[in-house]
Amino acid sequence: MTFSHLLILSAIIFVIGLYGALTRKSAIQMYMSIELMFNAVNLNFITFAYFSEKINLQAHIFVLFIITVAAVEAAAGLAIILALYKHKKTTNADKANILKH
Amino acid sequence: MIFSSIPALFITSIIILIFGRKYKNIYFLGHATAFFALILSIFALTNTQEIIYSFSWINLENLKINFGFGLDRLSALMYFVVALVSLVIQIYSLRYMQGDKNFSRYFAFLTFFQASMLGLVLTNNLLLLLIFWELVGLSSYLLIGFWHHKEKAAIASKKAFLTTKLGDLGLVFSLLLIFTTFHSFDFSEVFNQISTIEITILTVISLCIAIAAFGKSAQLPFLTWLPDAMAGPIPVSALIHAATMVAAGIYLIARMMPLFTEISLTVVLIVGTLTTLIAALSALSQKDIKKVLAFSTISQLGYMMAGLGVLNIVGGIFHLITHAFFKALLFLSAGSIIHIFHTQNLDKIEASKLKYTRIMFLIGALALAGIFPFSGFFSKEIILDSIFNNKIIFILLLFISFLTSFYIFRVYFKIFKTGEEKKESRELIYPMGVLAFFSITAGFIFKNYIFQLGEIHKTNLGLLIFGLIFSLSGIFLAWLKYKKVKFSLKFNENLMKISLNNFYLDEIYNILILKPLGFLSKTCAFIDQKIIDGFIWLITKITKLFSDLSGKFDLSFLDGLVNDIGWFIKIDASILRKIQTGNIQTYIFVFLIGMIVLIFRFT
Repeated sequence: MTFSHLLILSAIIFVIGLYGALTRKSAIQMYMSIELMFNAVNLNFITFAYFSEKINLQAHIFVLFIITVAAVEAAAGLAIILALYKHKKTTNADKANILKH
Repeated sequence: MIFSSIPALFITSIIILIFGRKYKNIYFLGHATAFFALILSIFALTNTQEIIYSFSWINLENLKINFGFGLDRLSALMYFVVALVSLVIQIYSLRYMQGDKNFSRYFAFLTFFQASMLGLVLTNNLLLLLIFWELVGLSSYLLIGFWHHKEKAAIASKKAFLTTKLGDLGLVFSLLLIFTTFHSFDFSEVFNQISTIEITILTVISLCIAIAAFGKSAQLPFLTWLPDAMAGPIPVSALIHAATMVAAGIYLIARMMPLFTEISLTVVLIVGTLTTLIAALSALSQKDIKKVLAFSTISQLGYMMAGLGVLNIVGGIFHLITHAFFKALLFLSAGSIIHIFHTQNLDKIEASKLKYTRIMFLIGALALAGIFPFSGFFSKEIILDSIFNNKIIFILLLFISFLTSFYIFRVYFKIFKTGEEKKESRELIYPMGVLAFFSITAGFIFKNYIFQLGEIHKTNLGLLIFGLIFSLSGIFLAWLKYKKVKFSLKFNENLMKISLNNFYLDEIYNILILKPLGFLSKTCAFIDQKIIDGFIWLITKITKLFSDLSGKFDLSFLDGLVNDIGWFIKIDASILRKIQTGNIQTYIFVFLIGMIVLIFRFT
C-alpha cells in the first residue's frame, strides 16, 4: 500500500462517516457514523507515522488519546441518546427540534 | 367751628347707614345733627366778618393746593336756607316715609345729601366744590332711585345722574383752565388775578362753568332729567329738586360771577329765558301734580339764570331763597294730597276740602305767582327790574309770570273744590307751616341782608304794579276756566299735545343722541364680537389645523417609519431564523462547510 493510497482511504472513510452523520435519521446511526469518522482520522495519523523516516511516536500517542476520548464520548453520547429516548419516545434525530424557532 | 356741621352730618349719615337696621330710632341722630346745622347757620347769618378756614393739602415747590371753607354773605345765606329746608323736610319725612322698610337708608342718604350740599355752598376752593358737586349728584341718584324696585325710578335716577354728569364735564374743564390760568383753586386768589387775564380765556372758563350750572339746574340742553326725577319720594323732590340741589347751579354762577364776561352773560341770559318759556309752556297741560311742579322749578330756575345774566346777583339769589321756601312748600302740600289720595293724577283727585293743605298750597301758589306781600313778589320784581333795559326779554318774562300764575292756579282750582272732608295728617302740616311762614315773610326778613350782596336799581313803583297785573290776570284766567263752568276756553289740540310732551324734547334727544349712541355701541359690540373674536377664532382654527397636520404626520409618517423598520426586521428574522432548525445534522453540515472554508483560506 503506498502512502497516498492510505490517505485516500482514510479520506474516503471520513467522507462516508460524514455522509452518514449528515443524512441518517436514527441517532445511533448518526453516532456510528461519527465513530467511523474517528477511525478514519486515526488511520490518517498512523499512516503519517508509518511512512516517516524518523522514529516518531507522537502520532501513536495522539491516536491513543483519540481512542480514549472516543470511548468516553460513546458513554456520554449514549447517555444523551437514552435521555432523548426517554423524553421523545423515539430515536429519530429530527424530532429533537425544541431549539427550532 | 361754624363749619363743623359738615363733617358732623357726614359722620351721622354713615352711622345711620351702618346701624340703621339694628337700632330703628337712630334717625333721631340725623334730626339732631340737622338742628345743630341750623343753629350754626343762624350764627353764620348774624356774623359780620368773613371767616376762612383752610388747610394745605398739596404743598410742593410749584404746586400748592389748599382745601378750605369760607363764610361770607352769600355762603351764610345758602347755609341757612339749606339747613332750614333740610330740617323741615327731615321732620316731614318722619311721617311721610313711615312704614317704609328702608327708613334708615332714606335718612342716611338725606343726611348725606345735606352734608354734601352744605359742603358745596361753604367751600371757598374750586376743587373741593367739584368734589361736593359730584357728591350732591350722587346723593340725588341714590335718593331718586330710592324705591329701586320701581323701574321708572331706576331709569330716572340713571338719567338724572348721566345728564348732570354731562354738565359736570364743563366743571372739570373749567377747573383745568382755571388752574392753568390762575395757578390756584382758591376763590380769593382767582378773583384777585382776574384783571390781568385776557377776555377770551375768561369767556371760555365761564362758559364751561355755565354748562355745568345748566346741567345741575336743568336748564335748556339738560332739562329732561328733572320731570322724570319726580319718580322719587316727594320729600326728596322737595329738598333736592326744588330747594337745594338745582339751586347749586345758580349758586355756582353767582359765586363765579367775576369770571363772567359779556358773551357768557348773554348766553346765560338767553338760555335762562328760553328755558323759562319752554318749561312754563310745558307746565300748562301736565296731568301730574309733580310734573307741574317740576316744570315750574325749571321755569323759576330759568328766571334766576336770567337775573344772573344781567349781573343781578341780588335778584338771582333772592329768588333762589324765596323759591326754595315756596317750592318746597308746594311740593310738601302735594305730598300731603298724594298721601291721602294715593294718586298723582290731577284728574283723578276727587273733590275735597282739605282745610290745612289747602291753605298751605294757596300760600305757596301765591308766592310762586308773585303776589304782594308774599316773598315771591319781591324777588321777582327785583329781577324784572334789572331786565327792564332788555325789552324783548322783559316782555317775555312778563308773559311767563302770567303763565306761571295760570298753571299753578289751574292746579289749585282743579284739586281743591268744595266737597267731603278728608282726614289730613297733622305731622305733615306742621313742617309745612314753617315753610309757609318763610314764604310769607322772607321778603321782609332778608331784604336788607340780601341787598348787601350787590347793587340794585331803585325800584320803580309803576313797574311793580305792572308786573302784579300780569300775575293777577293769570290767576283770574285760571279761575275763569276751572271754576266758572260756563266759560270754556278751548286751546288748540296740537299745542296742548306739544306742551304735554314737554315739546317732545325727550323724543328729540332720543333720536338725536340716544339712537346714534345706541347704534355706535351696537356697532362696536358687533366689531368686538364678530371681528375681534372672529380673529381669535380664526387663529384657533389655524392652530388646530396645524396640530391636526402635525398629529397626522406623527401618526402616519413617523409611526409608519417605525412600523416599517419593525416589519423589515420581522421579515429578516423570519428568514434568518430558519437557520435554527433544531436539527443537529444541519449544524454539523454548517460546521463542515465552515471548516473547509477555513482550511482553504489559511493554506
